[in-house]
Amino acid sequence: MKNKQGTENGWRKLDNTANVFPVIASKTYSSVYRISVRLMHEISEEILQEALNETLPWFSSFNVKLKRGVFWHYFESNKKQPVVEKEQTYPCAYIDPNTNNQFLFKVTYFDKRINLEVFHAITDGTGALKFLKALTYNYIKLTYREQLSEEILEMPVVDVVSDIEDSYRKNYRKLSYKKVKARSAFKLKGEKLPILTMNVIHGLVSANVMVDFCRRYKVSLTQYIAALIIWCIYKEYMNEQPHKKPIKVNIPVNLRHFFNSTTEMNFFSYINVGITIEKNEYTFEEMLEITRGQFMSQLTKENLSHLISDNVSTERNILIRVAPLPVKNVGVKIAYMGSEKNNSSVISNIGKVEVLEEFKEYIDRFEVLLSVSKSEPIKCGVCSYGDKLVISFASILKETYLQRAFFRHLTEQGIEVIIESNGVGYEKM
Amino acid sequence: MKKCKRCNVKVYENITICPLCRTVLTDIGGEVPGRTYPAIEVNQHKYNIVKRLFVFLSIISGLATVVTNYVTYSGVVWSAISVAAIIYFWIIMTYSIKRSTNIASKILVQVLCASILTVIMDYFIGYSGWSVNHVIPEIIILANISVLILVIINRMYWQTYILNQVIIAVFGLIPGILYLCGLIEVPLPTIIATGTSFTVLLGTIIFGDKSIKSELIRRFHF
Repeated sequence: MKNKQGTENGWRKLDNTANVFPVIASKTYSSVYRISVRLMHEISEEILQEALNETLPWFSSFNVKLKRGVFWHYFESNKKQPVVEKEQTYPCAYIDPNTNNQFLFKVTYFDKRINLEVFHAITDGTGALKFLKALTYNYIKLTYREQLSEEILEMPVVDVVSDIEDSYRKNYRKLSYKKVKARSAFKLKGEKLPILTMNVIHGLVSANVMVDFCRRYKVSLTQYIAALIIWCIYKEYMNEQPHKKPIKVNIPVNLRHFFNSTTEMNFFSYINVGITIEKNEYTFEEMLEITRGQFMSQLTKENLSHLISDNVSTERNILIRVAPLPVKNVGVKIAYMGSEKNNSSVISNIGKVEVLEEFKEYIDRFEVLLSVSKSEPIKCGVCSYGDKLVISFASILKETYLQRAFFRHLTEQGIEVIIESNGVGYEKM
Repeated sequence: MKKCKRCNVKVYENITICPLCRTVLTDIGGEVPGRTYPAIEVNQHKYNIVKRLFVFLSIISGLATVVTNYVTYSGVVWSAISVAAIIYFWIIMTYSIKRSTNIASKILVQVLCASILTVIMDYFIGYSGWSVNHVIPEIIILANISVLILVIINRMYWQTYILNQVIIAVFGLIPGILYLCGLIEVPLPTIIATGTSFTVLLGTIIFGDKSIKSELIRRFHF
């Protein structure tokens, strides 16, 4: 398959943000996220492997290996086949290409669940979800071959085929604006779980109830969750006292809607919502109002264009371009360590997952999990499918103060919550 | 299905305590689910005795030579050589043991490290120029020939060695430049080294097909 950068030779550049991930990824911070789908029946390994073999050729964004050049990393097409495995590590574990046929993603399964774990260099949540949906369609087609009609069996699993443009560069305009230096954020501290162990807690709530509930406050779901997490940090980790460092949550934003792109590579940016606790008494409603205001002011096309401009102009800087890769790596590491100081936590909402009508009855729900690090020990992934809204917390802290306060707050408001965990909370005491 | 009275949440797991607050759960009937996540054993205490022993011995022997050198100082900082040799040992061990590293890049690392080591040795025992006059050119000749053999044996995968081959060859031109600057006293090894490097570069340009050019483009894109 060809692309705009002449991939008849089978290589392409990394997109603008992707350049960061190969440098910062390590066993303790993998830069891997997981999107899972839960089906109605137990998963069969053979069928899943077959479905994966059928899906991969449609996605040149996934069919790659990472190589080092003199100045930049780049992707080369991978001629091997990825192998489906039964889940046997904690979620979002570091993907070592050498033990994974050089692929930068993994498909695993457990019970009724198919997990797609993706190294962030290849794509963001939107790209991964597109892949997972295609994989799921293929899996369902293969599993229920007898029951499904001819029409459904021949239905294409993707709509846009392999759109791999670097939308950052595509939408780059040189802009000058005043840069604000970010303040370092309050950090969640506490005793850690054993190394490489992750505590996962999913909270299942009704999407309709939750959306109606948010509507009462005139906020969006993400705004409500962001405010609630800030509130829980204030209650549980700051003990409701003033503190000079703000509580800040980082929220990845899908730029495709803003800039009309369908790329399968990364195309996201962040907004940062923060509250500095300056007085003794805050109410949740106050925090919700502040959060809403910050969303409104930051989530504009203009502000997001600035972020793109900032990133791309750094990448296009001639001095940076000619620096050999090892030198760049040092620079990226330092810059990343600086930026990590700016977040207390991260919330990623991949939104409402829509699937083709014909396949709905075979799918139970979707879930998202993010990889955590020492500096950002708890992260929250949100996604909904039908009426099932799943709020998932990944954590490396022993205590579950934040998660507990979060879900207790919801139940106090009369919202029914069903909890599921991966067992770390009570097994590794 | 179970319920936690404190958190007021339902828990859909076959467990006795709440994952949020560790309160004992109350059973509220309904189906009992199986495990939704596997039980995981993280093998985190791999105790590598050989590596630890080598680290221990390296530090002890490094310090011992420095101390001995200092106490019995007679004008030669010979401990610098043993410390450099220990560092060289570690670079080579970690790099060569690493799985799946391209053989040509192992040769490249070897060339660079060995060259630096010989210069350090030469310098600390009263610089007499044997490193740049003899050893480095010979290392380069050897490296050029080794990569050439690799390429001939593995003709199909020439492009995987090309980057290292080019870097070694370019590195091999340095002695020639030193010679032109008048820093080389024994010209023959240098001339052969630079000559082979130049031949390799020229050969690559002339005999390299489309795949070689494309490999160079992707490796050097900026």
